[in-house]
Amino acid sequence: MTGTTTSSAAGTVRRGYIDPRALMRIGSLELRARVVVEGFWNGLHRSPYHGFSAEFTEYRPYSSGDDPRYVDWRVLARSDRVYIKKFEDETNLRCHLLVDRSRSMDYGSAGITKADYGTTLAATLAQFLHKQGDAVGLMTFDERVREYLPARARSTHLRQLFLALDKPAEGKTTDLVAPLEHMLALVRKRGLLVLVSDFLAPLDRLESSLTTLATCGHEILVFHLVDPSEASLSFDAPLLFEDLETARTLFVDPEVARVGYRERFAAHTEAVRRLCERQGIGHHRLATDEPLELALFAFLKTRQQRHKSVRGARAGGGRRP
Amino acid sequence: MSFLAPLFLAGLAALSLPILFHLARRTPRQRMRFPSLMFLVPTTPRLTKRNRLEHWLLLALRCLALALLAFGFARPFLKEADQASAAGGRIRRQVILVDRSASLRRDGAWAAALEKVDALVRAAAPADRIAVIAFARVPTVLLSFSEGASLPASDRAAVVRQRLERAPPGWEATHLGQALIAAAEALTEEPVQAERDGVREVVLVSDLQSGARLDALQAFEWPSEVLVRVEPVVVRPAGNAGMQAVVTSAESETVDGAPVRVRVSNSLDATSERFTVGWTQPSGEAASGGQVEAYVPAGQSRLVTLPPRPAAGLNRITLRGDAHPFDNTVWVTDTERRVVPVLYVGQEQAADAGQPLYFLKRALPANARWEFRLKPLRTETVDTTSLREAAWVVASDPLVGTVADTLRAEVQAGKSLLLVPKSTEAARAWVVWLGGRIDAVREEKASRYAMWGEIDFQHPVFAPFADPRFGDFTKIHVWSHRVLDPASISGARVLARFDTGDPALLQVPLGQGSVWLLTSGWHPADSQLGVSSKFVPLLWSLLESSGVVRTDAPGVTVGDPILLDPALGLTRVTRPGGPSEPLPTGATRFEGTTEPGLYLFSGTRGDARISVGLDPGETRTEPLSPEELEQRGLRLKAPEMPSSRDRARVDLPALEAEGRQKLWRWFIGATLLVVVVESLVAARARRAAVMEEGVTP
Repeated sequence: MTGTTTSSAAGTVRRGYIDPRALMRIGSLELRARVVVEGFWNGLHRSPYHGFSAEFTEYRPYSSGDDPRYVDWRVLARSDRVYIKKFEDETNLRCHLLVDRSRSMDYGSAGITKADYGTTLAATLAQFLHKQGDAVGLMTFDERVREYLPARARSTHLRQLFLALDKPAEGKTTDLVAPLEHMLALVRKRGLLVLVSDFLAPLDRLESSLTTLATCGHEILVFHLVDPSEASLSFDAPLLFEDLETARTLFVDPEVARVGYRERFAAHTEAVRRLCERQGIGHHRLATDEPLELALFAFLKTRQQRHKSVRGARAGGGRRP
Repeated sequence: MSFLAPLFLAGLAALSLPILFHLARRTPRQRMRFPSLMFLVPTTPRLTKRNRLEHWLLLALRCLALALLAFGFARPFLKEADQASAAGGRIRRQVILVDRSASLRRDGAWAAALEKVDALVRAAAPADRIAVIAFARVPTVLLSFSEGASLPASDRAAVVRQRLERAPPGWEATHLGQALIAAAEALTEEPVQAERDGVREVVLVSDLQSGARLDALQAFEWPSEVLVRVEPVVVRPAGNAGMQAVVTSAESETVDGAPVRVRVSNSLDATSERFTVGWTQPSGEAASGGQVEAYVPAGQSRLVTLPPRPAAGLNRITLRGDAHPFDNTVWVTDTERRVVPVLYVGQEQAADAGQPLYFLKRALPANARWEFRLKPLRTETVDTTSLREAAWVVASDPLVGTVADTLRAEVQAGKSLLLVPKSTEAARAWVVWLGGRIDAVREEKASRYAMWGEIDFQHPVFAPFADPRFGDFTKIHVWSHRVLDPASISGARVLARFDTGDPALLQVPLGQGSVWLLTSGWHPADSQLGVSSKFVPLLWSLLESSGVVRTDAPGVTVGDPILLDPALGLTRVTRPGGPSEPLPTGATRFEGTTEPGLYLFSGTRGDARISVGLDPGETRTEPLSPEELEQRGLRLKAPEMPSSRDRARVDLPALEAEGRQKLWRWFIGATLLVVVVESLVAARARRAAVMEEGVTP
């Protein structure tokens, strides 16, 4: 199943997917997520981390300080060598969803706001991961962190998470650095961080924060949400544009300003993409008229690629007794 | 059509604004809430042909509103109508009220006032009726309506000027209220020919000092058809400081006299605050050693105590350091003490604290003005000489025989007698002496005590107690009093009664004099009156009412009469810097206080020196606000006269025509109407636009 969905996600065929506008008509966030996740079976991710488990991975010589519980007594008896038995850790994935709830996310030209799309995406991912038995946490933010739920795999936790996502947005502006720094302070154990935002904020300090998180061993995945008309400035008449975050107004004739705007917008999106690329972070640009399944496919694809690369690295560098 | 203020037509240039806005502004139909303006740059609005065509009605309405407003402010009038009225001859009636109070003595003030009057008279149409009233303390008609009408129009200005020059500002106070009333009455009394009746106005040419008195207007209903126009006389430099002598009351002075004090006041618009106050020698120079520095901030006044006179005979104090010297001098006189012989008839010891004499002596101490020489005599020792010498007789014991007849003759000649019978016998004797019935006289000992109840506060004796703060006599307990029948005494008037209804104080006129009868004594055996705070004021009140003492009105100002003391037998008066003049025989008042200074009176039995000062109101030269006139019911007209320099350009007929036609009202009304229509059209256009476009981006 995972393989087939990944191959589908690579293509551009949208037939058979749920239209986001139709999806958003469903009032309940939980139901929306369940609808999208329907069809995916819960998979167990192989953890790259070692722990006490039934599945053996390798032996290694005992060195002082190792826990004597893991000493393979049979090997000691047989060969008179002290070896430590290593097992593959079967703990599930710990994923944190970081969802932008700033005012700029309230914009939506085609009946869906970026905020709706973003929360549905986060809920879908949470539902999906929960179904796989993974622990999911949540952090919503605007100019500061609003909600934080630590990653848990309990079924009641998912309901709490949906409730937190459904809360009305309170903030105004966007600060992308604050939640990342907060996350760095809160989440000690390595895991997956999924950042859902429109990235309409200065990018100066974003890179350093992402670098710190990446070097701490966190796997980061970015969903960059874009509204179609926001990207193209597809307006005809001159308008008085009002900034959703600062309430500043600007008289703009789109006919005149369109070319320059598109260039600047594309440059900004490209800057986000490059920034992620430099840090080895998965970056997915999602327009709000695109089906949410694509986001799931992208998620799974990135996860699988990562898994393969870890396995590959281990296969090349691991030692067998 | 002509305009009174054509400069406002420049406002028509504002018509270009709506045209520009209509051309330039591509008004955004709606606001678009957008996630971020960080990638947007503002666009300059472009001119489009489409807009011009779309809003032409709104543009026209907006231009029309602006144009109407500009025309309204330019105060349009129809010249044809004005000329017709001039030819038709509506008669304007105008009273020019010219201030010639002391404050107009300031440099250039009178000349400016004369110029203003001149301009006003010259600007009047030949058919207009003009009267000129000069005023200070009292209004004086310089040119009446009838006289003005009889003069050729060309001569009026010259006649008015000549008369005004003959009546320059004096030293009197500004009684503006009375003058305005006189002017209004002159206007309303003038016969009216209904079809030719024009504007009736009072033109006030004055420096409008805040010290002007307006109180007369309180009781006057200003005629609605009379307008008041103020032509202020501006005096440069502004600000004025002045000085008044502070009169100390006779009671507060010691026998040695009080230090001389003056009040220095500075007007609100004053520029200088430091002055020198001091004695001045007859030559006009400051007397050395008699000067003191005074710091008086603008709008305030300070009491300045002068050093003792450096030389005897100095009586002039001058304020130095003020730009306008007209109110900077005051004169002071030395207080002269008068001796009043008082005869007390009673068989008492002066040191006996239980007898009336003891209290009487202490109630009349000597002060700087008065010295009461109290002469107590027993009934049997009273002689006719003592009776004749005494200015006031107080009797507790009866008199009999020839002395009683002499006393009656003296009282009938004008002397005053106070009777305080201590016993029923004494009371009976005096009642008989007054011609009353003795059978009604009896002693009344109240079971508890009696109180002064019913008091005639209208009478001069009790008038000082009329204020409720001072009128409470109930604290004086009366233990015993004599009851008598006032009806039996011819002409007796009861001024106060006890709460029992019995008379407490009676006045019996006898010839030219008066007899006052207290039915209860002030000594402790009879009542608490002698130890009450009412005793001394009551005695002084009786002394004043009897004419024994005379309290001078504090601070005689120019125009006030001086009350003459008949005891001095004054025959001549010397005005300040003038020759000696005879006084009419038996005169009790001197009315000719025309200037400030010392007035010297000489007589057969003594002299008097009275200082006359300037009215303190004249010092307060800061201008009066015209609103204060309006508050008193006057109908004010905005000043329309330009300065005297521009009087050649005055177009009074145009002014009048505009005032009559009031076309500006129509223009402002039309403007409001157009604005309403514009709002409706704009609202409709907006609704249509919203419906047409919707809100989708």
